[in-house]
Order: sequence, then C-alpha cells, then structure tokens
Amino acid sequence: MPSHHRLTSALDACSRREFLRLAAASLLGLTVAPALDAGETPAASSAAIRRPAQRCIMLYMRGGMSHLDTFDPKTVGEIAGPVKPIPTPVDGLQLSENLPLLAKHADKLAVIRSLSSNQGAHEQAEYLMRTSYVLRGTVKHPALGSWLASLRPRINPTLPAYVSIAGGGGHPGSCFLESRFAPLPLGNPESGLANSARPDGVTKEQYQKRLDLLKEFNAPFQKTHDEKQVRAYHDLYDEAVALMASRDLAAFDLKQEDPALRAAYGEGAFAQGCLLARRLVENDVRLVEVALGGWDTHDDNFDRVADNAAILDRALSTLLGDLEARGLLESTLVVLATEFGRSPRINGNQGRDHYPKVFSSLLAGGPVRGGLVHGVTDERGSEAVKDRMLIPDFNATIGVALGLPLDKVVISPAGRPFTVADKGQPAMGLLRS
Amino acid sequence: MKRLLTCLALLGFGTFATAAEPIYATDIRPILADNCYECHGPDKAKGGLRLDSPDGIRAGSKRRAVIIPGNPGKSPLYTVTMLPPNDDDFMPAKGEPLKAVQQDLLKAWIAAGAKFGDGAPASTTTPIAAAESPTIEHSAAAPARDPRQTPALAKLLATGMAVEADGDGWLVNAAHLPKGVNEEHLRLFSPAGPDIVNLGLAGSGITDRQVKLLAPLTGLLCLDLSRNPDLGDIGLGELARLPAANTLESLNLYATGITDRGVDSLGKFTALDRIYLWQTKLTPTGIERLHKVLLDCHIVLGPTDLPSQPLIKGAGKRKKK
Repeated sequence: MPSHHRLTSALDACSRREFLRLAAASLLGLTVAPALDAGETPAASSAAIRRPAQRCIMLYMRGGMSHLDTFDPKTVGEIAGPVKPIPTPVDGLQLSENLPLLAKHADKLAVIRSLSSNQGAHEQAEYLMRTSYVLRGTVKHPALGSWLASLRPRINPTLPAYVSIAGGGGHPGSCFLESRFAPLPLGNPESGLANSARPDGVTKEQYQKRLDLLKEFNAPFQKTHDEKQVRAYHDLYDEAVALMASRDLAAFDLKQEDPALRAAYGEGAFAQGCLLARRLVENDVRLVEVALGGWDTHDDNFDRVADNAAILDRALSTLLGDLEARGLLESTLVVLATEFGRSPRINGNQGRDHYPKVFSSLLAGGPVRGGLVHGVTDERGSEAVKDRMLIPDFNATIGVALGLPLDKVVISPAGRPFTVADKGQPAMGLLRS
Repeated sequence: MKRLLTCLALLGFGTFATAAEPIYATDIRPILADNCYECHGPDKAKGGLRLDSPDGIRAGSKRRAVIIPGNPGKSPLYTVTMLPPNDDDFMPAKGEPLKAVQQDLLKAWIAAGAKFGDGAPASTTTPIAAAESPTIEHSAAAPARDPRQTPALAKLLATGMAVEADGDGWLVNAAHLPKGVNEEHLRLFSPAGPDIVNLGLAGSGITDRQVKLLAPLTGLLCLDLSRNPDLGDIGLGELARLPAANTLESLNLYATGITDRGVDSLGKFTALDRIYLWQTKLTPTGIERLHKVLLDCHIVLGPTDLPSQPLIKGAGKRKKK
C-alpha cells in the first residue's frame, strides 16, 4: 500500500536517527492569526467536560475488525456462524465468546455498536478514522494524536508527547502541524529505543566533547541562517540528547518489567506494545497508539478472528487491570478502533467481506461511563437502528474526552479551515461531565 | 550538454522588441498549456516533469531542474525548444515547434528571473520544506486558561512542573522534576493552594515530613503519591489532618510504604471515592478493616483476573510451555 507521507514510510523498525532526519526534513512553522470575527459561527461543536482525561491509549485494529464476532454478537444462525455470545457482569450486555477475559471488564467499557462509514477501502477508511476527514488527493490532515500533542502542553519534558507502536506505513502523521507533533514510531516494542545509547567504547566525557564540537561546527551556520526550520532542527537534536541522558528512557525497556506481568499481556508486538503503552503513559506520554493487524478476514474468518481476538482479549484485559491497579485508568482514555466492520453474509471462503455500513468500537477509562452500550443494530448486524454514529462523531467524542476544543479552527497552508474532528458531534451521554 | 551549447551558439537569437518583462500568467502559461501540458500535465508527467503549475516547473524533472532563473542559456525549459527538430531532446516532442516569438518570451521570462507572480521565490532547488505556515484562529469557546498569567503558577512552571487548567481549578504535575521534589518546591504551592485541584507527585521522592507542606491545598480533589517508597503511615497520618482530607475524592498510594497501621488514618478521608493500594504493605487483616472503614469507596488492591496460562492459539496449534 503506498504511503502518503515521507515520514510515515519509515514507521516500521525506524531508528531514532532516521526519525530525526525525517522529522527535521518536514518541519513547518506555525503562526497565530487574529481572532474570529464575532459574526462567524463554526459548525463544529463547542461541547466540553470539566475533567477530561490526561492521557490516551489508542488501540487500532487494522484490516476491518468483524463486529459480529467480537463486540456485537448475533444469534441468527446464518449470520453468527459458529460464534456464540457470552454474558458479562453488566446486565443486558453480551460479548462474543471470542473475548472471555475482556467480558469480565465490561463494567469499564462503553461499547459502541452503531459506527457507520461510507469508506469501504482500507486506505481511505483508515485515513477517515485517524483524521475525521475523507482522503482527498492533495490535502493532508493531522491525526487526532497530533492535535492532542499540539493543543495540550507536555507533562513530561523529556519523553515525546505522542508515540506510535507497530503502526506500519500509511499514518497521516502531523501533516501541516509542526513535525514535533508527529508520533515517534516504534516498529518493535520489545527492542527498546534504537540508537539511544552511547556507542561502545565512548565514555561520557568523550561523548560530551563530541557534542560540544558539533555545536561549534553548527554555530556559524545557525548564526547566518537563523530561520525557524534551522532552529527547530537543533531543538530536535537537543531534545534527543536530553532523552538519551534522562532516566525516563528506562520506560522503553520492557526487560525492567515484572516477568509475570509481562507474560500476562501475552506474546507478540501488539501485546508487548500494550505493556509498553502502560509504561509510557505511567511516565506521562500523552498518547500512545498500538496497532494489531490481521483482521482483513475475507477467508477463514472464524478461525482467524478467534486467533486475533484471543491476542486482543488477553492484552486489553490485562492492560485495563494494570492501568486500574496503578490508579491510571481514571485519567487515561482507552480507545479501540478499526476502519470498518465485516459483512453479515458469510462468503464462499468462510469469510466476511468489508462492511462499513455499521461496525463497533470501544471507549474506556478517563471520563467514559463504563458498562454502557451506545447504539443498536438489527438482529442481522447489517445496520444501525438506533443512535447511528459517524466517524467524525466518534472522534469528536474522543476529542471532548481529551479536553480538546472541537471548534478550534486551524487554517492549513493552502488556506482551508480544519478542526479536530471536522463537524463531528460528540456523544456526551458516554462521558461524565 | 556541450552539444546543446554548441547548437545554441550556432543558432541566432531573434531580436525581441518588447521592453516589458513577460508575465507568467498571460505570456508564458498559454505557451506551456498549448505545447507542453499534454505530456507534462495532469494526465501524464513524462520524465517526472509537470509544467502545469509553478510548483511543478520549480520542482523540475527526475533528472534535473528545468529553469535556472536569470540564465536562459542553462535552462532546459528554453534550450530544448531551441534544438534542431531531429534532436533526441528536442521539445515539444509532439506537434509543431515553438514559434520564434514564443521562444523569445520564454528566454526573456527566464532572463528576468522566471517569476510566477505568486509571491514565492523563483528557486528551482527543492527546499527542505515548502515555506508553508498553518495559521490558528481562536475558537468561539473561551480559550483554555493560561497558567503563565498567574504569578504563583508561573513560579511553579519555572521549576519545571507541568501546570494546566483542570475544571475550575488547576492541575499541577511535579512527577518529572530532574532531582525530585524538595521543600522549596512544596512551599511554592502556598499562594495558589486553594485552586490546585489535582496534584501529581508520583515517584517524586516526597517524604513523610514534607506532607504537612500540602496544608494550603484546601480544595484538592485528586492526589497521586504513588511510587514513593519513603512515604508511609506517618505521612498518611499527616495528610489525614490537613484540610485536603475532607475534599479528596481520589488518592493514589500504589507502591508506597503504607501498612495496616495506616488504615485508621484512611477512615478520616470523608469524601474519598477511589483509593489505590497495590504494592503496599497491607495484610489481609488490614484490608478487612479497610473495607469497614471506607464504606462508599472503590478500593483497588491490584490487577484482577490476570491471565497466567500461556496463550493457546487456534485448534491444532498448541503452544509449547
């Protein structure tokens, strides 16, 4: 799949040196324009809550997660196939038998069953989910995480505000917002942060000497080219050096975690990525994304979803319990999203095909009211019969939960106005005001 | 290239009568539209070259830039049109060659700096980043309150703490100070004390003796004291005597030195809704008493229902233990 942005094509196994090079190469300036005229009314919502979340963990299910075999199980035989619903501690809320561990945490979850999109192709649908805008030729929009990183101040000065784990290519990044609001990409959560230690044989003093020498070489250039891009490049460098020296770097080292807890999350990049996400938000990184692929089940849907859901089930249930135990869940929003659902009709290969008309997602933690279902689908899982929610509405709800001003207008370099979630209207009933 | 220059030297240049500089929009663009867009435009971009926009012309082809402002003799956009028609590089590749007056316009335009009239520099080198700046307009809703405007909060910011508006009050996070928190830092809370509703001191090294310095925080709703192993029952007792004991809704004591002896102090927190006590020294006896002392409170003692068996994948694929 072609990637849109130079930065994002290096998301897999990206070393920090590479990241800095790419980030510095796409730096943009930011200026503030005079306030809106009194007569103008933005179409986006101005809703807000008093106590938004401080941080966010966003779990992205790539490929189009089947809603019917996970969060919206059905009983009609030819729709449900071999999958049965199971009860949860929340009266009236059933989940698929593919998610037994997560079912025990149902009191923490707001299950959204009425998401609806008109984008049925992976690239376009993922773009819409990440940015709330439709993918259009030349226009690029920032991802929701970049909005968060740019609109709320950093809590931890040495760690990046936004990290993307196992994300793969195709991430919209920060686009016309400054590149320091783009996510730090980590391909493999288990390998720590590459290129973050001094090379073998270089002492601290030698290293400092080298840094000083570098500064000396750069000084005349910086003086004669005192431009925003040049300054920002050096800021990035300074930040990277600060990160290398800080004790917070240990957050990236999963070997420092209790082995039993590490095993409880499960094996593989997604599961260990969830553990890393917990460690990062514990150190006040604002938003961490972790991706799990393999959901594009055009064939062999039931076995493949069972396998994938088992990974999700274990990792997410452990994550929720872990965050709660450390007192982090009440101030950390957890989001589960995918680009579309899958067809109620089972195709000739025991598979389900793309189905954007209705699908499911999840919110938990922070100001989210748990033990709730938003939206109802018909008994065949084919459409929303109550409380249909469009993708911008979903992102607007996330935006409000994270304390973002939905009606803050940013004018892109091409002169178009953009907001956090386009014109999405948040579902305020899902949040504690 | 030498061949091109030789050809140029052999060809004569027509005299050009007009004194005014050619304008891109009215003089140059029509020439390109009629003769070049078919192969270097929105439908096709031969050689990676698009001539249907200023950006495309500036960017050049895959091989090279096509204009050097001020130097038509080195600008392929002009020079290829002056080649003999049977030359491999001759342009336009399709249709009629450019007329002399059109070639002269191109030459004069490039000589005058190849300006597009769009305010951007006529550079053909690809800049590190396009000179783009997004502008922000303020939202119709009230902008988030700026802590820098309050002197007491500005002092906190100066130490390296994070300060942000939270509901009607302020959130202060002192968890990431380079050398942890000391008495001097804590005394700085005093002027803004009543307005601080959320205080983060996780892993900050706060000690039992320092807790009483939190007295000015008379409206505190959330307090995070987690990961401070030097904080124990004495510190908790101090906290229970402060005004905050009657306002606190959430208290995080995970990974602190609290023991069963601290349970009675916890009973004094009248507004407590959530308490976190994982990795403390509480025993089952202490926990039993705790449930009696904090009746309406959500007590979190550790992660529940952690999976302990290895994951078994799919039928027929059993993981080795």
